[in-house]
Amino acid sequence: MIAATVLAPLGGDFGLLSALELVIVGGACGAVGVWVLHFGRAILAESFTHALLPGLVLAAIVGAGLLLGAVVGVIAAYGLLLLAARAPKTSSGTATSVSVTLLVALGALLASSGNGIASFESLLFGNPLAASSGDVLIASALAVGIAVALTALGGQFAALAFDARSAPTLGVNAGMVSAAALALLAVSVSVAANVAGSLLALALVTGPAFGASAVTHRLRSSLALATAAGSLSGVVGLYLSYYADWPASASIALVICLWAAGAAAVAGLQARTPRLG
Amino acid sequence: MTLTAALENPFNLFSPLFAQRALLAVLLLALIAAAVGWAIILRDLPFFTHAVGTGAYPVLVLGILAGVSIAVSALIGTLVFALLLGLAAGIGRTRASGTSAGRRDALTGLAVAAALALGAVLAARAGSENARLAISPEALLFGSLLTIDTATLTVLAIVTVLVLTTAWFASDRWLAGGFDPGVAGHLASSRSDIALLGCVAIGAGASLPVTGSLLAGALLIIPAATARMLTDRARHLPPLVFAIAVVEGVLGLYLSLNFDLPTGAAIAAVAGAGFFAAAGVVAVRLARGPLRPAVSMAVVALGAVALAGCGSSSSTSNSDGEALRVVATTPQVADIVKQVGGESVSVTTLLPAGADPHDFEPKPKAVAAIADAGVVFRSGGDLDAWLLPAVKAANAKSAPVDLSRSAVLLPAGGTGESFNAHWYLAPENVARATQRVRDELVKADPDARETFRTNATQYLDKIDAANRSLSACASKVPDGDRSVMTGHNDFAYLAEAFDFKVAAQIASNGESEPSASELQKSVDRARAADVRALIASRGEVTKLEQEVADKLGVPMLALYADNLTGGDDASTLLGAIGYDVDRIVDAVTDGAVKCPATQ
Amino acid sequence: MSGDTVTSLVHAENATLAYDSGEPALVDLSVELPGSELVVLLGPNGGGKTTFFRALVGELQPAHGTFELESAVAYLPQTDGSRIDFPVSALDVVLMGTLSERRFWQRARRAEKQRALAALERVGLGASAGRTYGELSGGQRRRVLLARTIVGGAPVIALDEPLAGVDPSSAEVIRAALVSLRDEGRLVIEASHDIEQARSADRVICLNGRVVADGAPEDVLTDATLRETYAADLAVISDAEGRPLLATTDGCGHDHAHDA
Repeated sequence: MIAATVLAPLGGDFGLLSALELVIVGGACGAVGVWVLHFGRAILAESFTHALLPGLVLAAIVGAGLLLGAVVGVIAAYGLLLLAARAPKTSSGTATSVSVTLLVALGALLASSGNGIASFESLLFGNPLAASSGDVLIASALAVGIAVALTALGGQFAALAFDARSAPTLGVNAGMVSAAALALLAVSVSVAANVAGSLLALALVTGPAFGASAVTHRLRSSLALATAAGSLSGVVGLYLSYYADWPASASIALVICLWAAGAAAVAGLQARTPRLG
Repeated sequence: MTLTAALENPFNLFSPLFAQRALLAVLLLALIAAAVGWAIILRDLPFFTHAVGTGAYPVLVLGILAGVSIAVSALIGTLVFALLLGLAAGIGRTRASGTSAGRRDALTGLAVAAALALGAVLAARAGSENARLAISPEALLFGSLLTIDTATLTVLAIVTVLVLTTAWFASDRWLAGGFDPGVAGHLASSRSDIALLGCVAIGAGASLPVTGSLLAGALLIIPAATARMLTDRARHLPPLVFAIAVVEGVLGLYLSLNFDLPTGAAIAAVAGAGFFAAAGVVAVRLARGPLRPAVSMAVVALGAVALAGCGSSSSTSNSDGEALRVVATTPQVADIVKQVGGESVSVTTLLPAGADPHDFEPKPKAVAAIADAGVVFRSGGDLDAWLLPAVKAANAKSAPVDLSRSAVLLPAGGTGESFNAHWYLAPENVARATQRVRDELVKADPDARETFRTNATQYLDKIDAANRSLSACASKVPDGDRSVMTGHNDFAYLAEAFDFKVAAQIASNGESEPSASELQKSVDRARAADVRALIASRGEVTKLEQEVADKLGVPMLALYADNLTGGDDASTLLGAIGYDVDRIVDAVTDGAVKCPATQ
Repeated sequence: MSGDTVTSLVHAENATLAYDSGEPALVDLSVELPGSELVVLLGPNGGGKTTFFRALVGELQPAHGTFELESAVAYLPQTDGSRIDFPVSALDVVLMGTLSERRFWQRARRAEKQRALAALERVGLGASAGRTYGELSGGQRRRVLLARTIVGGAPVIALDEPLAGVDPSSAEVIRAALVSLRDEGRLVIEASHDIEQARSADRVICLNGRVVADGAPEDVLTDATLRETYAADLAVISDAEGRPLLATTDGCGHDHAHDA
């Protein structure tokens, strides 16, 4: 009976595949998230997730894969961000905000002009239950790529994140490494958007790392913790969706946010306890 | 004043009441932008603005479910979210480790994602328990003219006065606080900073009904960012921001009205184009010295107008001035009306052929058409619930005629809606609706009553013939092969009329995505009943439905349920019913039985 | 000058100044500072100069002892946090200095603009009042910030290395302005690395975690006191007359502008 309760969400026709995809995507995005926070690129990540909307809508209109649309959307978004950043007398925050607002608006305009795209809402909020074995395969390939890149570039990332000015003196090619970090961010945001939609993808990318870095300050352990939290949150979110009858991607996003808030709260309490005593 | 005339003349375009309301809203928003927009730019608050706007989404959904006006819920939503952000930042600061700016941004981003997720859950619960949201999530996210009601204007006016007053007193301190936080920040006091955040929050809240939750920055951020490039004096910013916001807001509104675009998106696109145009010109001219404000305004206006020119699309008009003007919400209803009305009516269909009625958001032209119409026919139920805000906005002469009232109705498949809205897929209901349409048209235009009666009789005969031939064909299907699965509850009438059995459906509530458990239960049920096909509404076949069909190993049929398409074999309602029956019969019998075409 | 008859504007007795965590930055601080004095605080980095200023502006409460102020303090910090991308004129910046004396609903009036213009005149920038702040040179910007510091008329003016990274002509103007402020009765407290500059002050206080010496420049600026003040960081270079010239190895006089 208990076994049935525990296994039911993972069994059946959708549980296992979507759980598998969520574990892979959640883990990969969680690990990348640690670097996103270390490089202080949370706003950029947030911007990417929203700004890739026109790409998703175009893909839905043309009938191409959403992942492809997301990647194209991120690249276009980055191009516009670079262009906006060159606007005179404009701070980077303002430039980002203008570009994102423009792109989200273009996404909405495209969606309203293109007749009969399959549920605009699912592009915004995603549906991880629709995972096919092909999706899982692509997700695995990307996750392996992300893992390899993180392992290979971890040292250089650490040097650059620690002190961007002195990193070049340590033999770190700052331009190349930043570009690699950016590419990783773009890929993970696209993968996350494919699963959780444009509006909830950010939770997958920064949430696990936010909680992890509150609990531990060591790089290695926060990478491990963020990966674990990202993977686990997907599965827990699936259970929540199964038993509470909530939309799956929203459940997952909420679980991740709870993890981040909970971890930060626990860390806050621990930091305060010695002073009380 | 006809719709055609309105398309040619901007002044006519703005003459309906709802358009004037929108114009007033944009002017008030421009004032708010002038009061706080410059401070948002100079104090690096664009992300905060975007965050409070988006973070208001769950309260927005809750407010609409509770029947609170969208303007009031938006205001409460942004304030609540701004307070939560402030609390979270405060807690973060008291922690021994301290909070870096990067972490604060991450926290803000996560809070936004959590708010959107919460809003999605609430909207989904609403879908299953209540009828549906009267205002679509898209309208909440991207803005709509139809949400600008008297309450919105009242709230906007109050917020404008509040923000202008505060800015008048506090703007010196807002400026100093951003200039060098170490010293001037002291002089400026934290109270004025809190006032600034409060003003930004209520400003964003007030703009939500116009620009939507995701695009709060369309008028609050972009015009100010544009103005900043054009002047080096903080003193000149407010009037410049106001001028730019008015130009871009009105232009966006004009495009929204003329080309039926979501209001927030149209304004944001115009403003964004204006920003990049100004950036290009300023960058080029920078070497030759500062620009005069007048020149720069012209640049922004030109950039935005250029966009307006590019944004042209084919405008349809189908009014000949003489015939009775009728509005139909869906192509199905429009078909019935055309069959009965013939040449004597001119029908405007609100839902474009092929579009999803669940996601549909009535466009500005729809409101103008409703305002002009002699009769408005609606299909009824959750299929065109979006009509009601449009009717309200149009100040229509008479209430719409709900054809579902004349039909024999089935209960809704899910827990929520009072009845299943797809009645028109049963030929018997089409006949009943035809009689109702005939009576209403006669009432509206007694002079043409003979035409209407003759047409109606001919159409009723056609319905009867089609029904007989299709029933005969469907009856050839063996009893064991009559089970099908559907994506939504949209084929219940068709199945009952032709004796098929809907053994399971993927989503029980409206259009919202099924939960994991719900999905598994329906797939199990489908297996147990040995279904022969999975049927989904054409144009709305989702990845999930395709996946389910593959899992079950049955053909995936994309049939006409929610809509018709123009031009092909199913441009008429009877044609669509015939197509649907033929494809189902073909699929469940593996091509052994064919049905004759119906028109 | 007799300390008994003149009321001191700053009064510290056995004060210990410490940040939230860690060692106290300044212990056993006892000073009386009356008006009409140009005081230079001298000491190595981390010696407690900035800590002293933070106590002066009320950001830091003493952990032990007393640290009292008898009047308002205007402060010009060492790290210049002003944003040169801001769309403000020099006059706008100086007007910010009058914010604290206005009620929150009051806007700058003509009288305040006149005073701001006068303050700009004092730093030799009367003609540049309408220029954009970001277009001014580094030294001119420093002078604008000084004008903003003095425009409020606070009896105590605290300046953390006001001459660091400033071009010679601007430095000359600033020095003259400080002297004239002293002459009109204000207490001017200036933190510095520059011994040459300290020599022209009324009073020098050497800080290195505590008050090492306090008195007239000719009494304080001796080889022995400087050695004690700068402890291990010392590299004494003497000028032709045998007076110590340059005392630190870490700062080389006055090049701390890049710390910002």
